[in-house]
Amino acid sequence: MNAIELHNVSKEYTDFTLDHISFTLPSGCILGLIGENGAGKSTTIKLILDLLQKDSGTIKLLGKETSKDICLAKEDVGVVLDEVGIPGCLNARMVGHVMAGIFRQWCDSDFRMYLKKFQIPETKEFKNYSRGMKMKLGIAIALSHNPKLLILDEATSGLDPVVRDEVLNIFYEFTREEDHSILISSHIVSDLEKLCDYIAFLHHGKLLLFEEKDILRNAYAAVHCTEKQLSELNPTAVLYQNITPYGTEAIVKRDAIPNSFSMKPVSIEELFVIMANQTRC
Amino acid sequence: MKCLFLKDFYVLIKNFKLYLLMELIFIAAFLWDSSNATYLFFSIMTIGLIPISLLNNDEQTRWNEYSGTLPCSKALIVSEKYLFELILQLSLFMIMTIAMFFSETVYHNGIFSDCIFAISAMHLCSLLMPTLYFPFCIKFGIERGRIAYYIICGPLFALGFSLLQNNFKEVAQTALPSILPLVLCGIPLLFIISWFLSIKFYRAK
Repeated sequence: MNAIELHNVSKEYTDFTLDHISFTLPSGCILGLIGENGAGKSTTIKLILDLLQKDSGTIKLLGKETSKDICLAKEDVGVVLDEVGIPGCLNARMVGHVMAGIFRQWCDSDFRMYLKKFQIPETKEFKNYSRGMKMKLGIAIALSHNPKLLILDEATSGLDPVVRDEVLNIFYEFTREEDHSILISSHIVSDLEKLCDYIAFLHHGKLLLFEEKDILRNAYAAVHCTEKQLSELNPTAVLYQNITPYGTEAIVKRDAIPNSFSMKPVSIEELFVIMANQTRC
Repeated sequence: MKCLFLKDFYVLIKNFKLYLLMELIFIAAFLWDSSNATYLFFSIMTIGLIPISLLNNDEQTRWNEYSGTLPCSKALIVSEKYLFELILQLSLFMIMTIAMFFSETVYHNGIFSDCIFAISAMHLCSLLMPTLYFPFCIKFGIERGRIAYYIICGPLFALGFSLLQNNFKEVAQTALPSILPLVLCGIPLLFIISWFLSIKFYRAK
């Protein structure tokens, strides 16, 4: 079963259009949704969660169509948005009481375990939390009802590197279970590069690319050479080039380059920037 | 539904202590001087404002967005606010009824028999606030919804206030009984229409 399936999903606003997005997140995998601010990541996530009405297309969440069985599907989904929307006057204990009535599979002992693990005080009011603590409480809620799927919208942005690393480790742990999947959006590409099995690039509301991370890294490479060497290559194999007095670097398609070239793996961030710039051109 | 009530109850207790204190003061003041319904009017209108403030709080804290990620239907999320309004109104009505009954029994001031129908009507009237406010807020957001609400409700409540301020008992005994059937039927009907409209607007978001 796929955790998420999107087919030709569109949403139109006066100043922005999410344009026929299709991708699939297989169960047990992590998909990173990458895009600059305003690319449509949050809109995509809101459409998946039925927080927004789509104009066209179909969305399936854990095998259930969101337009029909969204409440049932959400029982198995843990969500962390960029702002955890807990009323400021509530403390973690109160939040636990509220959530216990919302999720059928709520596990209070798990919730307390996460509070302890994340060092979240049970009686401190939410409004007095730091951003990192707020995020960690959001993650604790998302993990405490035995979800099969985590949907994380910019859950790591705004966190300091230490907390971010801690949070990413929690996500790693979550995906140790075979049927656990994660959809995570961020513009911090390095986080996703470490974590994800699949990568989707969104740019100006369009899906530029959806591919397995390893395939992407195998398909493209970075080369350092002279300008003359670069000019001898098949021009269609060169995605990007940067010529400086100190040397020439380029990102190329691996299979179109002679083996004599020394190639380095290309980062997902470099690929995204190149693809986004090419679209702009 | 219970857990959504619980969340609003926590917010009410934590954030609206002053509202609750004002309620007690207004009720006590009315029992002290039952010929002036200003306190009663404020008391009932204040309780009607609480769910509106809760809705405002939900938007500010982004609970309205977060609750959409939880396994609660949109109809349930909207209905909870309407039902919470009814629960608050009913609670206040019961407190007032008991207080007036005891006041009449002890002081023989006739307050219970004179005012019970008028108070019932006022409670129903105060449902007008959320009835008109909620659909606007759910469709347009709190700020624009509030503007629309003041434009529509401000003159109505000003009129009611001026009628009741001076001689409440007289109004309660003469004018109000004649419009009571209209109030009894019209406002609940509007309330139900508003409830369905709000669900429709929320679903269409």
